[in-house]
Amino acid sequence: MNGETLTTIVGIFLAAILIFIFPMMSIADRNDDIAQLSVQTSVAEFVNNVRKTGVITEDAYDSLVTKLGSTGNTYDVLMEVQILDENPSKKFENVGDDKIGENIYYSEYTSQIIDKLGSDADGHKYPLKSGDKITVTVSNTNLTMSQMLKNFFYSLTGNNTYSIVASQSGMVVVTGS
Amino acid sequence: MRLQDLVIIFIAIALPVIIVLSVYVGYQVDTATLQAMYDNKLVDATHDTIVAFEINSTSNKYSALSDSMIRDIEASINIFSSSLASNLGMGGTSEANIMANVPALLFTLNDGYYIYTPVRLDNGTFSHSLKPYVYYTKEYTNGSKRMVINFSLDNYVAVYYYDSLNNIYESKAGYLEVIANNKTANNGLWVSSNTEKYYLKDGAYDSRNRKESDNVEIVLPEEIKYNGIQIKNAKSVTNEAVETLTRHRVDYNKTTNPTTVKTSTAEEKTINAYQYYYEACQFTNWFNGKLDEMFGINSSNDSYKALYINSSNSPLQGATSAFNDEKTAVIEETITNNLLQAMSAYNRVSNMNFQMPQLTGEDWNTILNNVCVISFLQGLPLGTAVYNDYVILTSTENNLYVNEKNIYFIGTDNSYHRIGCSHINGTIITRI
Repeated sequence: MNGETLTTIVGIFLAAILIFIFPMMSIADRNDDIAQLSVQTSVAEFVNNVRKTGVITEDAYDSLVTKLGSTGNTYDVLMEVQILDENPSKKFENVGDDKIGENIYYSEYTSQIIDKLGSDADGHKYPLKSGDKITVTVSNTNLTMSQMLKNFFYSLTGNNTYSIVASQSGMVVVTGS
Repeated sequence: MRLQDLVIIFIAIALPVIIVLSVYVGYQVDTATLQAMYDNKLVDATHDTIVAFEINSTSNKYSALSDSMIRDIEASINIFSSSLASNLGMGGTSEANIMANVPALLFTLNDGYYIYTPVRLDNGTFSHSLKPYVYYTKEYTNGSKRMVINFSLDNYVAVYYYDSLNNIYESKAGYLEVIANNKTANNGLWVSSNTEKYYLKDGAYDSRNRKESDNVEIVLPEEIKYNGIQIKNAKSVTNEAVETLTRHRVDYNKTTNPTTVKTSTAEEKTINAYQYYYEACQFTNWFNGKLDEMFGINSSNDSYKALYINSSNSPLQGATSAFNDEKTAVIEETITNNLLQAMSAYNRVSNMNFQMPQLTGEDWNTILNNVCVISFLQGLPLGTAVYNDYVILTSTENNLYVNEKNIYFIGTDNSYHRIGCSHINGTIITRI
């Protein structure tokens, strides 16, 4: 009698895992994959657009955030622009201000860029010039369904436990205004 | 045994197998995704390198000079490493860290290439550096005679000829052309076999209604020196005439000998095409003459047959000919040899057994027709494998080389034409 009960309990437990948890985990995983793809595409589009137009506009940034939001998660958008400093570097005596790769770059980050995008004085845009570089990294800040289910089996905590991350970087090819 | 027991036993056996399989497949998928991601990042970094190279070399008016070109390329390499670093999410990392995974970076230009690769330093250590320019070159020997030919992507060659027996040393560079020996149109120029006169057709690309009287007639001099070297039937030529010939746009009517141009109208003609063809024919004559001297007339030597220019062996780019096959083989061999050397040096530094990826026929076709940057990246972990790949990207906006497919002519019909355009007939080409 005891053995039979045990078998039944193990059976129910297994059945529950097989019928509910596995398909849910699988679907949640696929969901994350789709979100990942969508996020990667949006970020690539944003960065390529900036590279081709030479300017980060508030519209483009809002559009990126909206697209990211449509995946059902919340995201942290980190931007870095490396600006070609036209002051001659010390390494070369007769460096030209239009040469790429010899001069020093200085960086501006998300908060500085967002400030300019939101400012009337700057025309809600952040202009870049040919030779500058832009890097955008996006990662999710909420727990996705897949992460929650994984927590069911093993704990996944901490600051860097995002499962959706996309990063794109490139050199600006035109000077924007 | 009851059914429930059987089910539980089945699940207990099948479940671990399924889990292990799914984890394995998951790893494989991750590997493939990661590989695609690295591929993308390598393409992005290489693209940035190309853009930097184009901007640097076109905005630098001294770019054709070797030192200046090296500076442009080194600057572009800096862009490659910083771009790759920021693409891989390691922005700001040192160049040495990133370059540890780059066995070689190749800039193939018009007549040779630069390679950025680990080289052995005096103290026995290895460090990445830009090697001196390597020309697409090959030495041909026959007895006491030696000829070194520097090939280029188009029909331009530089030739160094040395005959140690007679102590003759000559060097000359120019374009090779098939010399037309009858009244056939050849790139807008045709040659009369009766009069030994060269004609530039008025409206160079109009093949209809051609009359000799309409054409710009150029009476070739019997002898001429060019750049101090005697070309064909040496007699005395005044320096003034040589100088006149080397100018781009000259009023030939004012010159009596050795060159005269008679035009049906009085207006001045642009004679670039003629000048190019004339010089190319002179150079080709000299080139063929040297081959005759070296191997004997109508030699059966393979090198002679591959190099001797005639109507069935065209040196023009894209032509199917023994000359182009030879050129392709030389370019492939020099690049492959130097790459293998670079890989061997790299393996000694990295203690990794890196094997050079095989460049495909399509890749070679790209290299042989364009100015390219080829980047190799390897050693990045992919989960179950190690990344090892390369990217070839072409540069179309540089001042080193123009593919003839990218050339447009402006005609009097106010339209742009490409070479071989079907609407070009009857149109006078005004300029490129």
